[in-house]
Amino acid sequence: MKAILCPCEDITLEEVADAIDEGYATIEDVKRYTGLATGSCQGRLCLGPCVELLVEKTGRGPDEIGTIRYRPPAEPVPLGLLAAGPKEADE
Amino acid sequence: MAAALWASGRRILSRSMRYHRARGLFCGTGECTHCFLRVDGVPNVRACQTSCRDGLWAEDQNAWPSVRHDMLASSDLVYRRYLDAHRAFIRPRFMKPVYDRVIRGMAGFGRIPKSPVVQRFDARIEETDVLVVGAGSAGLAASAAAVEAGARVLVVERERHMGGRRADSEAMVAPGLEELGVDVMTDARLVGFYEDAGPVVATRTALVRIRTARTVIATGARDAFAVFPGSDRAGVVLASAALRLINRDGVLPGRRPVIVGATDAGLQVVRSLIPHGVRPAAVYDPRIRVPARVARGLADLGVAVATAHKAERAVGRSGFRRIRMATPAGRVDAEGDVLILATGRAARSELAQQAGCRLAWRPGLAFTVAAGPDGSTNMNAVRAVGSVAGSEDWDQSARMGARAGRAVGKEAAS
Repeated sequence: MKAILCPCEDITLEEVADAIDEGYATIEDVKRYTGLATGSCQGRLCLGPCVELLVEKTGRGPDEIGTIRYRPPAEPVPLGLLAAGPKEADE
Repeated sequence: MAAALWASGRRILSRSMRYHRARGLFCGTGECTHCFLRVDGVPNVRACQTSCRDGLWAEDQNAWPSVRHDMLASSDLVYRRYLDAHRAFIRPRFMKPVYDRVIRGMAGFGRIPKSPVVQRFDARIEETDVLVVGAGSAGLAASAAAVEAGARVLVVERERHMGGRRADSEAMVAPGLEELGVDVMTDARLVGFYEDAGPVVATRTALVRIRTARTVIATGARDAFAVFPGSDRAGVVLASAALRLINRDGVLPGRRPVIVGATDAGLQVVRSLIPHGVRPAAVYDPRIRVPARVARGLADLGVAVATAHKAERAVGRSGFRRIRMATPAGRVDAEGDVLILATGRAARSELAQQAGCRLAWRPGLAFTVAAGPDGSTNMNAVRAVGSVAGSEDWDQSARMGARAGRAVGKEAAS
């Protein structure tokens, strides 16, 4: 039975463990190789468990492993809303 | 909508991306992907963040023929471990374009609307001395203290109500911030700290740029996801969703709830359930020892703590039915009509990281902002208070918020 680590992208715990064993052993490597944390929730559910798995498998501390870079927008927003932003001339 | 659907008995609301696993209400705070529906033609709308109204039209998506009976879920059985996207569907090479076409046809989340969705948005700029992000225990205290010190204060809250986690858990009287002279924006989301534009807020109808010299981040913490087979399935919810169902929506999550996690969150859930005549016999926890405060609180309510119960898998077809746990004395099954996960918390530190704050891992709270007792961080103009900065209870959060609020209020007023 699958243990889902990243529910948005359906990445399993085993899949991430295999990726780490293949040498993708940093948080950004795991993200890029498996697609973890790239779904609609942007890592809100999976990052903590992923860091814990990396700690367990690599022996490094969580602060050394660190976390992914969070870029704006931090929340989903309609494109029309961003397009409504004030233009330079308005300021 | 998610509460109404839960009350109607419906647990499966969506199907997951790859394996079409059954999902339903999960976080209740608009942070996960489990309750996506197509609403009035717009795909990927979170049911837990959408109010019911007359004429609203909701459909399921990403399933055939329906989310309750989805033939595409066969992929969950075919790929027993997982589908290795780097190695599957690349050979023989001449077939690759065919594979790609089929996969692209099946991939994606929801269909785009058939007709244009016309919505006009406004844009404006607001100025303030102090921006407070989040109106939970810490943010409320910070706002009140900063305005008292003579600063103009704007507080931005992503929910429609104030009080944060505490207000989801118990009846609390939030201070009347408007009467104190604090500007309040609710149902408004800080979408980012942009390098050129600074903090930007999205309301349902407008994009608002905030001009501020100082920011207090009080975004709180969410419930942590517990990873074990079946923990993602419909009928399994985080404590946050259970608390909101009970205390905000007046919906009982279940008559026979199984609760995993002898934590403050687990205790809050039990406390909220008891007035409605639901008293679980025990709360399960994988640890050998649980915090004395929580064990005492549960004992006072007549609820035992079953320690050293490690979740192995949750099962059920159209909802949750049973969880299997490994204990030193062998396997134990607990049956129920809902599984509530309260195993830990995770600080909402994404925005703080964007604002340049240094993060530090804390057991039980994941990556928090490294902050002093007055919320000061490595960034001069940014403070972080409450559970996002490592506070473990509401009183501590309020104290931290008040100290930070006083400090930034004075800075701004001078």
